[in-house]
Amino acid sequence: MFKPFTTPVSSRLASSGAVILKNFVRGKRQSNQSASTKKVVNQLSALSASRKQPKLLNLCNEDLIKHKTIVNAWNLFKRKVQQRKHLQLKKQYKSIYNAMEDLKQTSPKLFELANAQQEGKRFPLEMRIPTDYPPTQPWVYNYSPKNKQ
Amino acid sequence: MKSVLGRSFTRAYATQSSTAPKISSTLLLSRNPVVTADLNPFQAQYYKYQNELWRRLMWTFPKWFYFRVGTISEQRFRQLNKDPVSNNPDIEFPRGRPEIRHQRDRRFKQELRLPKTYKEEVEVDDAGEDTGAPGAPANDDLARKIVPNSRITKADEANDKTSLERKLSRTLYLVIRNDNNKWALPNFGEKTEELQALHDLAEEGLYKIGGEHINYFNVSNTPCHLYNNEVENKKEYFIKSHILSGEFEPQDKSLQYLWLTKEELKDHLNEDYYKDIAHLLNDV
Amino acid sequence: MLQAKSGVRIATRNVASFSKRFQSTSSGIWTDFSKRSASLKLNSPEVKQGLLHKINPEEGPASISDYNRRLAYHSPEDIDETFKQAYELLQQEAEVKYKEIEGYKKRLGEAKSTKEVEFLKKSIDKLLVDAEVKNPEVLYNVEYTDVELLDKSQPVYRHLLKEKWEAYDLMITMQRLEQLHMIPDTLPTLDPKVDVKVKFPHNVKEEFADWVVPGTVLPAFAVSQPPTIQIQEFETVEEKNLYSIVLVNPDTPDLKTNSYSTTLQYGLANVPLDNVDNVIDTSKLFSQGEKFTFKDYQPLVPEKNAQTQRACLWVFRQSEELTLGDIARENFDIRDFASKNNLTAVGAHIWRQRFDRSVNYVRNKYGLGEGRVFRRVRGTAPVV
Repeated sequence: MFKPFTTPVSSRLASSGAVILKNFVRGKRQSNQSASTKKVVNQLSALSASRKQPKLLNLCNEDLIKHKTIVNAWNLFKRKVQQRKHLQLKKQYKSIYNAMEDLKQTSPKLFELANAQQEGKRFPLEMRIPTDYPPTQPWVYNYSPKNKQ
Repeated sequence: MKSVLGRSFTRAYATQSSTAPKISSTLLLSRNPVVTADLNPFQAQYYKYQNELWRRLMWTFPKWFYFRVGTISEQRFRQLNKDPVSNNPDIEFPRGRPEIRHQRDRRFKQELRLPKTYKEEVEVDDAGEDTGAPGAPANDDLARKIVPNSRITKADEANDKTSLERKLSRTLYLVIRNDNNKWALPNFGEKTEELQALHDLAEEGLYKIGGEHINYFNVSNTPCHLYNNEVENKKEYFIKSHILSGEFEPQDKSLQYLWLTKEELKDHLNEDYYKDIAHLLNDV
Repeated sequence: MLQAKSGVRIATRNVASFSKRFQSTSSGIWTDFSKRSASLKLNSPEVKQGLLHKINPEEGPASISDYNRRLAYHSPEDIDETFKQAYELLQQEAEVKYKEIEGYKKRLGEAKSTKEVEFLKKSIDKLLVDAEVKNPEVLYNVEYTDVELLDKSQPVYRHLLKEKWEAYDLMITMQRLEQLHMIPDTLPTLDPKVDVKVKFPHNVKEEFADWVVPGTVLPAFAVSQPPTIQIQEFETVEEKNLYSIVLVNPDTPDLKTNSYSTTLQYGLANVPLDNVDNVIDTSKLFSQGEKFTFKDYQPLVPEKNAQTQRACLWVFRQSEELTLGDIARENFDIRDFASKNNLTAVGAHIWRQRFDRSVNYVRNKYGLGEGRVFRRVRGTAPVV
């Protein structure tokens, strides 16, 4: 019959104060880290790139040429928009210049008034920046002017 | 101040009187766009393509961080997002072997469906049938679905050209017409008694014809353009302003007014006049 | 080829089964070949279909030859729709450019001064390049098909080949010329205008039968026959230019001076070449070789224990036709030769040779007798 050598291992360890199971039961892998460490590890795992990066995009020859063509067309489009904008700005500047030169000759007093520095002029608060979708009331009709002193 | 030595911008006609041209101020009153510009079809398509590339190259969603295992929301998430076809080394995949990491096939973009945080008017399931679950709450409830307002207003549908709510993505300009006259930008001649600056002239004239309930912002006292009106022998100095709120209410019953975009102005205005001022008008 | 051969091995599928359902008619300047050369189009129909329309989802892209890889390939989403719009935009621009070209051609017909003619021709060339440089078929041809087969008479192809040359081959050549000191030792410097490619096609072994990378050390048997020289001009050449080619060895040992001298190994002059007809190969040498060879080819045969010798090939553009007398091989002064005959150096190449086991065989073949065997000699200066 089986005879233990000395006292069984489990009882030896039990007497030393450690808690162990007599029969091993398979369970989930659990790390013996504190809750705060686990939280930080979880956060880092969400931030890091490990196992989250998709495959490198390898285009075949046709698709690469297609992509290059698309980028070329986009650059052309942007260039045309910019050129139109620059041309318009140049014309606007010329307009202002010509108008003021003419005003200088026709009426120096009006010219002074038009040329005067407007100190402290700012964009008004009511001037709205365009958004993707309009407000429920697209335009404010309710306005009455402040009484001038 | 009338100068005796008139500038030689005016062409010398045989029948023209020798008096110097009068000074007048034209108001270029514009309503800035309320809504962002509409995209060119190629622009929209290019942005869509770039967006798809961005999604293809995006990192896998860390689902375990946002939907903790064991919670009901994680269960709902799992119901909505079924796992992709996993790799089995014993079978052939004609269209390439999948490579799954964190329930995402690395070869493609990840398509996620998140559980709804709002209630619709009629709750429908995937098949499109009414589930019978309680529908949307009242209109002001914070839990209602966020639906943005439409960019096309009632004024657009009615094509009401006097309305300021029409064509929210474009810039609108004010044009007026007296009886038997042609459409033109509002012009105010200078007064003989007192000297008035061009922008003051424009403001007074605007209030006189359109009422005082106009909140506008004058961009600058400096005129932005000069138009030599040979027909009426006057110099028109353009003052640029933006209307911010309020409304143009014609004080005179015979006055007609419209708020038009750049293309519509081309149809309504005189051809030469339009060509002269086209660069002042916004394309957007 | 200095760069790796990027030949397209098109899937040899049954062309008859090739479905027509993705073809759509698009009429534009890039599909119209009445006024444009047919060399500007893609020749392979499957690749063309995949490029300009849609890659067949059952077959995959035609440019991938491996069956499994081809089927496993997935294109980016929305690429076809975006490409269609991009192609239309670019084609419209090209149409505008072609209209401008027609205007210039009319002016060319009425032009009087040579300055104006030159200016108009340059403008037309530039516009021809601008009109086609974004064409996806042209880009595919330059990138993925055999460069040798491109039509060099088209300004677009020359422009794109020049870009390719400048990106790699030119840099390699200039690096080797400078590092091996060919530049100060033979001619003072080089302003490269022309892509010079050299190969020895008589070789059976693959490693010696392809285009020579500048600076490689070649064995004597590999260079025992005259080389094939390709001279690619990137600017438009209307009537044929005349070229002189000179192969020089600046490392022949001169015992008397305890230094080196230059020997002329190979000399060609008055070779007429242009953009398309740009190779001096064996067939040309057989038919017209006697007219322009002023010095027969004698390969470099380095002697034992002499150091690695450089074979410096210089390509000159002639200003007028030359008549050369008898020129000695030994103590050849290349600078003098170039200045006396008003030659401009436009391209160069270099390879190296050292003594190997085939040198004696080549010597016998050319009847050069036996070479000397050098050995180190102690110097007379005292050892400190």
